[in-house]
Amino acid sequence: MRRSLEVVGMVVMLGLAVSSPREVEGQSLLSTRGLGYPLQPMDARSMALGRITLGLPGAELSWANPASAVGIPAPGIVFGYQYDNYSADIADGVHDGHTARFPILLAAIPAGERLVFQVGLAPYLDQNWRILEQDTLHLTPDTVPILDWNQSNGGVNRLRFAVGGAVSRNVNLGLSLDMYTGSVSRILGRTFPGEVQPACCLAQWDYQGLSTTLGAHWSPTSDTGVGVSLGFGGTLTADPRDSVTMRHKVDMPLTLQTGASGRIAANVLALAGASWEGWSSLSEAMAGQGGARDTWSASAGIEWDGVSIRKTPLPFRAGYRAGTLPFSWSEDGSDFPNERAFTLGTGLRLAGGAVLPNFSLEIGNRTGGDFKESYWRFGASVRVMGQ
Amino acid sequence: MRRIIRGQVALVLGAGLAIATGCSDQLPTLTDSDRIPSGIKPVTIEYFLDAADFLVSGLSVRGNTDISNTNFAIVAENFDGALSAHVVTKFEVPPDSHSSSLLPSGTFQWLEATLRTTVVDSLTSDPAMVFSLWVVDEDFNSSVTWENAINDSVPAVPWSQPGGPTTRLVGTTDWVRKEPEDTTSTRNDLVWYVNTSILQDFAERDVQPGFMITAGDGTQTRLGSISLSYLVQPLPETEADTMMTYSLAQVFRRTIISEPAPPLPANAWSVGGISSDQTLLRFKLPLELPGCATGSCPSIPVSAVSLNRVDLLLEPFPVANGFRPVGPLPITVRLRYSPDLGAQAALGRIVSGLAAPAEGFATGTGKEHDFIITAAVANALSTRDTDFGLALTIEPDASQLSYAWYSRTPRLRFVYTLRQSPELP
Repeated sequence: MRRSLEVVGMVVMLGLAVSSPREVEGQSLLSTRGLGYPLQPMDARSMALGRITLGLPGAELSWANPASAVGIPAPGIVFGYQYDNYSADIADGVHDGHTARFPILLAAIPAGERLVFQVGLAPYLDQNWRILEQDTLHLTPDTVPILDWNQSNGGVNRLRFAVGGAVSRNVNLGLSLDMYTGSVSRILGRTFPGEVQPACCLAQWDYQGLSTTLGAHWSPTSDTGVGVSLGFGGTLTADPRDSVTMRHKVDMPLTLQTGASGRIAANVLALAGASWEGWSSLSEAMAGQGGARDTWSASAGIEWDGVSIRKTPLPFRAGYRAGTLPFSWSEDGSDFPNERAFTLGTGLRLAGGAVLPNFSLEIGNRTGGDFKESYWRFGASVRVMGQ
Repeated sequence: MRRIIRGQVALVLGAGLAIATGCSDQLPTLTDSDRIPSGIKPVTIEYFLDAADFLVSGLSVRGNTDISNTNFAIVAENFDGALSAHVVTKFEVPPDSHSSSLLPSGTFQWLEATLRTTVVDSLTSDPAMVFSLWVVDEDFNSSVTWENAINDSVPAVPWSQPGGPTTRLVGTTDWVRKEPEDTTSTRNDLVWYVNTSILQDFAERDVQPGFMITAGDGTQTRLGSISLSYLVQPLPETEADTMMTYSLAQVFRRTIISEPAPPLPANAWSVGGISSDQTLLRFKLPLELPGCATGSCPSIPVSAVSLNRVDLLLEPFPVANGFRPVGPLPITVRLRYSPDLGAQAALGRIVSGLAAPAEGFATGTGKEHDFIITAAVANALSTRDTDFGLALTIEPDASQLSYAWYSRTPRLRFVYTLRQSPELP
């Protein structure tokens, strides 16, 4: 009981850190499109394995599959950090940027050996971006430089409550209920010389809505795993904070994810994963921005733990991921971007396995028509388990 | 338990590192020119109000200063066929010894004296000018005027000729405006070499040396500070053998002018000058503005637009009697509280200012002067206060010889952007 309280304390502490007032900035120019850039909550181990989050052997704290945490021996929490650096080469030049964010905060508390409860918070849609257009205005007798602004700050987050249970010795099922949270503010205006930003035209919305995820995890042996999850996106509602601005509702996509792992040698774990998301359900709503399409991704990863330091294994991980992104770069819908990345990583095992720090590096690019963006992403996460 | 604490420490460190690193975030920013759909692009409108539409009243009031309250040095000669101005100055009596131990009386010889000043070339009527330096033997004091050498005695003591005697010319010096790239500190110096016998004579008579500077015909300019220095050398019989430079302290300096301040014009407003004129304006601000740039469309409340700029446009008017500026004139605009009180309304904070170009005050054909009063107007309109008062002044009082005159046909220019409602896709 006392340990459970300590874990809850950690959750509160990290929750405060995550919800600090500083806005999390965008990590790609693609955040300017559609509903923003979709984020995948995961720890650095999954990042290093080509973003495979389902089907890992044993009990894992995974956002993608609420069933995978069944079997953890004690309360645990995983907290992630990512640092992004991107460089986009588009028609008007090269744009560089970087940002840091917290992709996942997920805690699990077992109730006996066959049931686990989970609570978590994670960003979902990154809507941080700004468009600036320079122009001039003739004001007799001078020509005055002006700057048109269209800026968005905020995004959609998900607050998760989940439960998982064992239905047989090797099969677990899970169900999560995600509440959409977060907010976005948009500024649309024009600045004249001497003005820092437009003095008017701010609108703010608060996001709300519910989504559910069903997950299943099968561990035929202690070294293998198969996971699958089905997410129902529900309806995302953006409620304006004033009485003038319009309310918005969009149907969020159906999501299907799967992954599997197996030991192919004494010290080598191989993994594969795939996902499909039905973003085309938003195509009509996004028609003014070139529409939306269904997306898929395929990943493969490998983990080698043949090296030990003081009898503690030091795993090395590598992976590759290819996938598509949902929103068109161009207004006419001809430039839907794809994303490819190689991943690397390692981890430590501290305090007899109670503390598991992991680190990852992802190097990739996003391309589609005239859009070219290269990026690298450093990830760090730590999983802490009670004893 | 120990392991849990270790884990907590690791988490705290990790979170701290993460937050610290994240502080350098950059917002993804697009700058190409067609990303904001034309349908939601902001629309800016420029709208002019004529005097009949907003001017409630306007009057100029004269301050209680004159040329005796000024501290500038201006020389002019028959400027605009009307105004002459001379600078007269006195220095302390040259001492007959400079150090009791080194150069007591009679142990040195005068070698060379120079009187220096500078031309403020931005406040000059002509790129090439001639200046003359005169010795003034007639007694005068700091009450000096164009007519009288001593004006504070009864009766006053007049000059032998109005404007001061021009009988003992020290010399003339030419000045030509240098190229802007000439950044030497002495580029605008005026230097006259003064015969040391003049100083020696003043020393022997125990009289403060008086000098007068005049300008060439048809010109006007402002001068900087004036200094008088001289060089002496010990006589051979003294032990000291070094030439030494000394400066005489200036007792006072005055500008005297041939004309009184010009009367307030009947068809124009007046600002500044030696009489510290103020122009007091009262407006009725609009609460509605056109909803489109051209054509007919309903007016919209001013609270429904983004006010980018508001200008008070004033057309320069020719200034009489040679009192027009020859360089930028620093005009200050202040708020007037309770403008309905007329000239008694208290002056408030500074809301605008302008270095008014001199050109328009010569012929009156210059372009309108543009006083940006955006913040003051926006502040008034935010409280729906349409009774709006401004005062045009030059500060401090009597700091300028010249006047700014403006036609009584002001205009207000509103530049505003129609508010757009941001939308989600």
